[in-house]
Amino acid sequence: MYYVKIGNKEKKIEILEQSGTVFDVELDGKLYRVDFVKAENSYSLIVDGKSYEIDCNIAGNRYDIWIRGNYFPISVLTEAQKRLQLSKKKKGTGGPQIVETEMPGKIVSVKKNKGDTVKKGETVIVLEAMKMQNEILSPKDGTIEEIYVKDAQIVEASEKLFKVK
Amino acid sequence: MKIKKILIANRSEIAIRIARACREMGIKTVAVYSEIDRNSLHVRYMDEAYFIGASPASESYLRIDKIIKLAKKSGADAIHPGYGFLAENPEFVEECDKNGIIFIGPSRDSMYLLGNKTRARARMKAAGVPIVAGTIEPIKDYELLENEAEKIGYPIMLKAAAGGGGKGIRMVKSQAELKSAFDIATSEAKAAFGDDAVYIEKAIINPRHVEVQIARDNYGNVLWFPERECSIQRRHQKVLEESPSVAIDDNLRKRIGEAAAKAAEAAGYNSVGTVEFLLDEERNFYFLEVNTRLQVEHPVTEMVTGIDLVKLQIEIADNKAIELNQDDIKIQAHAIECRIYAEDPEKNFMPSPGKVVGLRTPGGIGVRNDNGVYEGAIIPLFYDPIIGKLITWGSDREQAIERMKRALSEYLIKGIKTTISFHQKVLNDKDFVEGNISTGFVNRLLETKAEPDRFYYDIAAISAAKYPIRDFELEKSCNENGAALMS
Repeated sequence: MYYVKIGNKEKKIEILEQSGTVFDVELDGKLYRVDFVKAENSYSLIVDGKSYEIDCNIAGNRYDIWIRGNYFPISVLTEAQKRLQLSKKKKGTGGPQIVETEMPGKIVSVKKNKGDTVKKGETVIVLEAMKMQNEILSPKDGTIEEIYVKDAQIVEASEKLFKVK
Repeated sequence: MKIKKILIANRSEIAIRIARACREMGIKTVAVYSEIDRNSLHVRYMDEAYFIGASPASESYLRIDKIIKLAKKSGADAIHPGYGFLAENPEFVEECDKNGIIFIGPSRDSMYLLGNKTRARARMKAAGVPIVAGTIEPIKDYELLENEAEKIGYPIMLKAAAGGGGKGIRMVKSQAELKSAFDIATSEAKAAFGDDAVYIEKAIINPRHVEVQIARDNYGNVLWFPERECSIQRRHQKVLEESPSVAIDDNLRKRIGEAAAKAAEAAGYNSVGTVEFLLDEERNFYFLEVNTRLQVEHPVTEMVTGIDLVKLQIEIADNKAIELNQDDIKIQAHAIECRIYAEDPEKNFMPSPGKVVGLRTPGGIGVRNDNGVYEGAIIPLFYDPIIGKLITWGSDREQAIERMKRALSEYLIKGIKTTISFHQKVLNDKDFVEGNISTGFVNRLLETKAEPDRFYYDIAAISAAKYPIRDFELEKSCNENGAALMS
């Protein structure tokens, strides 16, 4: 059993049988017979006679899937990974949180200093990319424990910006 | 033709669009590139290419001195500025003039006049082109502004006198909001244009944004083209344009077209350009501004009329007289353009620079794809997020829409987020299909959370089964091997 997460929807998936390129797949209790043929980063899927061209990018258990111009970001978890995630969630967001960049850009200004108290939703950093200024907000009430960047610095995607406790 | 070689002082899709016209006309092209753009498509496409500086635009594509120097070094007779960067900078035109290089665009004086919104308003009013009620003189003083706003009546639009591109525009609903709006608008205007003067216009409720492409040569011959409807905007910037507009009939088309031609004459304009109008709910139109450049959405007009506007622009710059008559300009199709931005429509159109790891472009009948990327190209964070434009046309609006939906379903860009999925939402929206649109459309659409075809969710989930399949196959082969060992 695996858990497939698409946006905030979760579905259970299981492979039941294989014969050549044809798989019997159970998705949330519903059975599909899927002919699954792969080329570089794209699949041809024939599901019960219906044909789909699927494009994907795979990084670990993260999948980006495109079907006829529709885009789906997906993550797939095994049962063990799912349990681990649940126990993490129980611990809650009480601990320190590190905020990372969602996109590359240039730091235009750092509004807070280490040790400052912040409210949830308050601007901590302003990041510029493609002529647009984006305010990076504090995800919670707390204290800035660390700022990892400085003015005019160029940052990549998923780079640490600040830690709030 | 005097012009034999053109330096294109721009990048990405528009640089390639211009170079395409040049190649058809037998004109040599010179590309310039910043550090990060060494491997960009425009460099690969043109005949010559020269480095102009570090990646930030202020050190490369905005450096008048370096561009002029390279034009001379490469022996270019003319410079095409594209849109953005130096396209509407009269100082750049002046430098071209001084150095004997043809600037492909209007004269310095015409550009200077139209570049300032209050100057342009005053000139249009004098010429009898209808303008939105409001102030004519630029305002720097808050108290004066407050008095004028009171006279005109709220709601008002507060705008930067030197503005353009949607920057420095605020709607103010009451006097209580005026002071903070004034402070923000003046500081934005100062930062963006180096001039903090503002002016106000009476706000028009549910306006449509309609614009008229014009062309005028050095001999006073003028043409106007069927209007483009550009009401689908986010952050006061267009995302989807079409032509003709469903709101305009032949009679109004002629009146608004002739007003645009009159505006071009009043400004002594001598290139291709665009006169923007607001259309109110009673179908009254008001002059907004003139864009003194080739516009992003020019292909819409090209597909409707069959006329190559870039070629026309180059010929006018080459001092040729326009050979076409107004009667030659006919509506031959309905066309739509979707701007493909490297932005995440799910996250308030946040920029999404990065590497294009996969690209498949649409084809088939009635589809034009003007884009500036290739598979493996980098979308830098330094410049405008536009990466391409998809244009479709058909015998009527319905066919153009159906084609656009089909073309978008074929369009695949991997590695970055784009506005492709957003456009699909627009084209499936009932109000859009019925032509019931105004500049508030995008905000309304974003509030209604449309989801992709529900059935695709299951298919997407199955597509992600590679992991489970690999484990399944592994387990199966272990079992088979185990069984083989035992026997």
